[in-house]
Amino acid sequence: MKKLWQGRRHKEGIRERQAREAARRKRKRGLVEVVSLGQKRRRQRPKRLTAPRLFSLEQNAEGVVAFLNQMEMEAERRALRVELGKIRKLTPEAVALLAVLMKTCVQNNNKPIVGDTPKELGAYRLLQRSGFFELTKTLAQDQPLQTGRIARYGDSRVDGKLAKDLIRFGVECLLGEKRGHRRAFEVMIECMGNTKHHASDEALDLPWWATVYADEQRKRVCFTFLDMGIGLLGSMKLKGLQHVKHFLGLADDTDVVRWLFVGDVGSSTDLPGRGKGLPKIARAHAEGEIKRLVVLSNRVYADFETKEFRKLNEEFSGTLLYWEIEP
Amino acid sequence: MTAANLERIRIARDYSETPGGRYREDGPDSGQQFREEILQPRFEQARREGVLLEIDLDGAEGYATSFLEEAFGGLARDCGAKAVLETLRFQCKDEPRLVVEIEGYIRESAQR
Repeated sequence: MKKLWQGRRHKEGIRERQAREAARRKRKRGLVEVVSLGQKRRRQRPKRLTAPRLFSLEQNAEGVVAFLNQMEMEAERRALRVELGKIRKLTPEAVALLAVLMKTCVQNNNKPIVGDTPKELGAYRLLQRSGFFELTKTLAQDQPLQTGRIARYGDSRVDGKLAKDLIRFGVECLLGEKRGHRRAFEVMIECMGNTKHHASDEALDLPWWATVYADEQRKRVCFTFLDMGIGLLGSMKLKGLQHVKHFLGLADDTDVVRWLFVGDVGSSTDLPGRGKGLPKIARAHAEGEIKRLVVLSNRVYADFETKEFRKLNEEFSGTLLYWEIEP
Repeated sequence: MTAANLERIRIARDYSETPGGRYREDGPDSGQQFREEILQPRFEQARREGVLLEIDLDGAEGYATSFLEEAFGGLARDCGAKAVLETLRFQCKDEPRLVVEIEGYIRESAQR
């Protein structure tokens, strides 16, 4: 008589058990990386990055850009835990930068970024209302009435309707009625056009981001426009005396940004009628039609309100424009 | 000037309340599209008929420099600044100085 354990059912049982074991090992491999020399290493925990206490371009551009650069670099290699708990001062343009970079890092690297929230109530409320949680989805937060919105365009399109919607949304949050704002619209369209034509040196259509935040305390609507292109300095060509001055070190990058906004630098396209957008934005600020104008691009931080043009030690790859209106 | 010898384009009504960027490939409602589809045909018609063409800029959300330059500077590059200045009249109660800006783009195009 043939023993049961040697029979067909016994062999099937062994195969099933082996398959279960293999599946278990496979699952386990997800947690354990095999490295050389037969050593085993636990999968890395998320790297902790602590955001600067002053998370504001106005007060700490250098620190914010350094933090974000580190986040971008680390996010390529591993999951991150971004600690926002110690933030004491947070401003809308910095929220826009943080949200966009976190989102971009997660999309590009397929590695998660998690984090906590600021303990300081004002900073927490700003995050909550700005659309940050909605965009990043890193934390399950209550969604109170939002007075901010973050929009992305994937192919650097100039879209007047989107600009109109963002502006009217911001104004409505503040005043309770949908109303446009001529200069805010024009600045946003100029920014979209600049990204379309100048943000890439390989004629690529890069995405841009536009954010709006209604600051009810200060009665202002705040806008940030952001792309991760080659930056203002990467996209223009100096000529003649300006080139010589810059080459000899008699003028630095902050001077070049000043020239761009005054309209002293010809367009990189060499086509007629170009290079008028940035000077018009600066004029709109000088004439009080837009309040606060901040530019961050490459190694330059420019605050047109305080007339501070500062060269940073940290490079920001892209261009950020921030402006406010009092509708 | 009587209504009989004045044609009119109201950009916000006849074209878009949200004028966009410079070129068609930039996105919807560009300056190039406005010039090619509306402005230039109406300009040429106005020249043939010997009437003025009024451009009413009111009612739009705003105008980027690239839109205005491509539309009006572009027209001047194609048809000559003198003819454009002779034929076009601008109206903008929302922002009267926009007229000066546009006329500047037209004149600049003649200097190139």
